[in-house]
Amino acid sequence: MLAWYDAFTGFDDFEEFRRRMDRLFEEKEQPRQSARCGRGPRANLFDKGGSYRLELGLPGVALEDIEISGSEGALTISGERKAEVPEGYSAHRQERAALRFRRSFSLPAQVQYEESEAQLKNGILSITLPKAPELKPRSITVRAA
Amino acid sequence: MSQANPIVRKNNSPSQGIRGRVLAVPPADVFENDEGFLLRLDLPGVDPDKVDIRLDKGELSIGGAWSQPDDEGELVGREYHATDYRRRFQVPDSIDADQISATLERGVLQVLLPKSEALKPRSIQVRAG
Repeated sequence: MLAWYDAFTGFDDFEEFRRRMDRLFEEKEQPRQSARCGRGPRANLFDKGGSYRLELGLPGVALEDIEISGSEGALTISGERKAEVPEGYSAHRQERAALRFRRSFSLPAQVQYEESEAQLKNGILSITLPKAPELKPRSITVRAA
Repeated sequence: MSQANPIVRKNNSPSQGIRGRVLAVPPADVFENDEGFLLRLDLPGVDPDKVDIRLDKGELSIGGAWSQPDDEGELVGREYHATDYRRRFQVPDSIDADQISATLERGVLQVLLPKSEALKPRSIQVRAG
């Protein structure tokens, strides 16, 4: 009988282990809504004189999953990120939600889309949009009369 | 850009919520298999050398800082502010602390926390007697 009792103590230990596993990655803070991509990716727009630079935070999104299109009125960026469980793993918590986004920006001035360039670094998409030639600032030489 | 990052940096000062900076709790995924745990956190813009991961008394704390470069020109619209990311997790004792590793790719931090050898499930061969 004693042997069985010991065995059950063993199960108690196992239960304790299991319980601890369940508490695993118990966290100290809850993510704030602002930290999520609920409203779509956030952007910054800069005027660099001869061009605009638009930056969009797209963590985990591959360049091939991003589509950028420009029309006279707006620059539109769309794409997606899938929520995936890596192969062979089970999920305890999945807050990094699948993301399907589409954002349009009306730029303050005409740009040359065909001259634009986009790059993705550390999960931030940067698009450089040269302004239409007539809008670029010019320096005008003032000559003595 | 999937360069491995040394995990424990005791001498680095952790990122602080400085004035004018946003303190954000990044969304995280936690996965498990027989070998260990896998954490993924969104840290857009953060460079690998601005990530700070430490494990102390069963608490894993992850910090990351992002700042806008200075030479960006005149700001027209801003939704994205300089951000300090910070998140802490209670991890089980079964983690082999010396074997934790991390990579940063496309703004997503991936932390691998292997279980101690003694706690990994084993299959025991049953032989005919």
